Amino acid sequence: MKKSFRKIISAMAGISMIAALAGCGRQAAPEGSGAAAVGAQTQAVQNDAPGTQAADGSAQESGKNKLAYFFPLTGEQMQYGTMLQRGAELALELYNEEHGTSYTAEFHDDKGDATEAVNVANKIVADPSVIAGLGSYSSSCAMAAAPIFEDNEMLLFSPNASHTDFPAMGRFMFSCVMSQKYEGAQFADELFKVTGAKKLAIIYQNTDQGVLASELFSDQWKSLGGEVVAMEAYVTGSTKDFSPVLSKIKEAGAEVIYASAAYNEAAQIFLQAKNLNIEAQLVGPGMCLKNELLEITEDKADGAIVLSSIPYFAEDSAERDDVDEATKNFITRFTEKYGEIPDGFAASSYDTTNILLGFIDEVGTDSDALRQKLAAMREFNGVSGYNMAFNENKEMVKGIYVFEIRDNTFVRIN
Amino acid sequence: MLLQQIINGITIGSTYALVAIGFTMVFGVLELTNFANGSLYMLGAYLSLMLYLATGNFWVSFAGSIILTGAAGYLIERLALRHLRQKGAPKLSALITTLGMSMLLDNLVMICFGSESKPFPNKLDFGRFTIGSAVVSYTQVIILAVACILMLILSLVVYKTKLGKAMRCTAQNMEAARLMGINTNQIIAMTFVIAGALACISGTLVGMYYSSIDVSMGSMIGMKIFASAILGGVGVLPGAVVGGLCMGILETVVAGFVSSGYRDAIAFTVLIVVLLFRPSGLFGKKQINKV
Repeated sequence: MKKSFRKIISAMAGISMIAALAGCGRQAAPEGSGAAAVGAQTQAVQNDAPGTQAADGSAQESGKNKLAYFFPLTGEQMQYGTMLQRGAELALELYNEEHGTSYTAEFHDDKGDATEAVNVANKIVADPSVIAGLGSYSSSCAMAAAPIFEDNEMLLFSPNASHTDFPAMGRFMFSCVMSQKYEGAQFADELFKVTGAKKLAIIYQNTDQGVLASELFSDQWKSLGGEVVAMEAYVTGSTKDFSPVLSKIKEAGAEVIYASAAYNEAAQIFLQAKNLNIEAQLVGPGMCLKNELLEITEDKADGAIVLSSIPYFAEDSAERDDVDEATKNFITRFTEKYGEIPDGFAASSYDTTNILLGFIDEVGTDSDALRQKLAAMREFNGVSGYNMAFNENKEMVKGIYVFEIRDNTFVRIN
Repeated sequence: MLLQQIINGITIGSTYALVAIGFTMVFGVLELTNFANGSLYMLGAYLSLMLYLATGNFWVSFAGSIILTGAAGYLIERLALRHLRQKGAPKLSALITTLGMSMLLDNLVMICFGSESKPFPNKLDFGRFTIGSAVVSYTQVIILAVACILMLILSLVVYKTKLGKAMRCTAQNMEAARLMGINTNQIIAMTFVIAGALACISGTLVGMYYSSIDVSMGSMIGMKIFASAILGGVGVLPGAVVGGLCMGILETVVAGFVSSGYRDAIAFTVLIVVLLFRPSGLFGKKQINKV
């Protein structure tokens, strides 16, 4: 009687363990690409002063003057959708002010749901006053809407879809965010240049994206003549103690440790490396570009490097000399209007809007002309990135920002 | 390298041991798997941090948090489990209730404090020293020492005091204990208070060790403490400590010498193998069936 009860208990414990394990697996990276996926611009728009008149004319002739955005404005992705919307609103307001134009915006709510995104897309393409569609936050929504835009030959320019397949879904699909495919390799290039070190160790998340990114990173590192002495996966969300892995890496003699991890896990890696007297250069990806990381590490992460395809927005950005004028203006205006500092999403949305409006003024509202113009974009400098360009597959590539943590803040060093 | 890995393992193991002691005590007295233990551990860490942010004095906050978490343990017993026991509900209902309590606490903390990692002040950061090529921090030493001291104190309480005798009586036969004039409800409540206070101490220590806490810390450690307690022999206090240390060293060595992706898989495989040969755990006594 008692024995059978013990069996029940242990069975229950077993079940709960399995449930807990499954639970851990489920904690995917928080749309990790999201934060890293932010990119856009400000200055490109200025060279069309002469074209403005004519283009404005053509916009009026065709009766099209509206940009249709779709973002998750309710639901659990609402926070991101809101920032995307604000970036777009601000860009439109400043652009109209500066160029005397009267473009309008229309914001639709896709609730972060692919089905809803399809409904919204159908509504957008049916509206004769719409020039182009811009959205969404998640790649899945943008990709669900893509065929509808493609069939109706309307441009779909996403400020945040970083999925590698998105640009290949049609002639009219563009994304303003660096494709995950190129980030890993570009990071390796920059890191190799900055550190001059040879022996690299990688700690990466055991997720699809983590595996892919770290493979690209290590391949590129090897092709540059470096050596990868250790590659260690960890389970996202259920690993807090990295000391076994770090001890192993220390033993392997790594000069550089690249922690491809979210900010809280990277913070643990940085702290625990310090506790093991590891002197290798510590490096984190764009996901680490958060004040929350600095709050956890305090001054113990000084000297660590963060690689990112998006810049860092801080309260004192406007006074820093590692930030350009256009970005300062963006941060100031944004903070004035909304009372908080912009993030990468807002910046990406801002750039997306500005790039598009610049080209509309240049070539009018014809989707075909716009698409060719976009595909030919090179060396654009925005607030969400620099040297932004579309490659031959019309995938976004851009320059990499290298930050060093000094006195508990991120300082750009390249 | 092996020495360093063993030191790493002992540190993780002592954090498991700290929570496993409370878990195993409740099991010893009530034969109840208390799923809420991990949540109390998380709650304790959050309360310490919030009181610290409010008052600015860490040790006072720590003490306050121990009391509050103990009170939370008492409330779980008083509001949920006691009714079940008095109505004669099957023990499985109590077990599911603790699971529900655990979810309630986790979500409550998430609503109040958000789901992101919170920075936690490390007041035990007294630097580090080296043994050969291995590095040891004083925080690690303190955590191990606290685990051992608490184990000793609780063992003394359980085996040498009147309260402990009453606990053991209640564990053996609740009816008979009541007939002997023991207020079993009070004894059980006491057990929960102690378990809550212990969970708070370990949660706060672990928070300091990692300089951060998050809502999922309780569920993350949950299955490790079951495993530690079962490995050491459920209900045996020194067993919980030894079991915790074994689990910690095992998974660290696996992560260091095999692969960190397999650390849990291999650690649990070893657990199963040990239980095949010693079904009642390393220190567990063979149970005699009561007829």
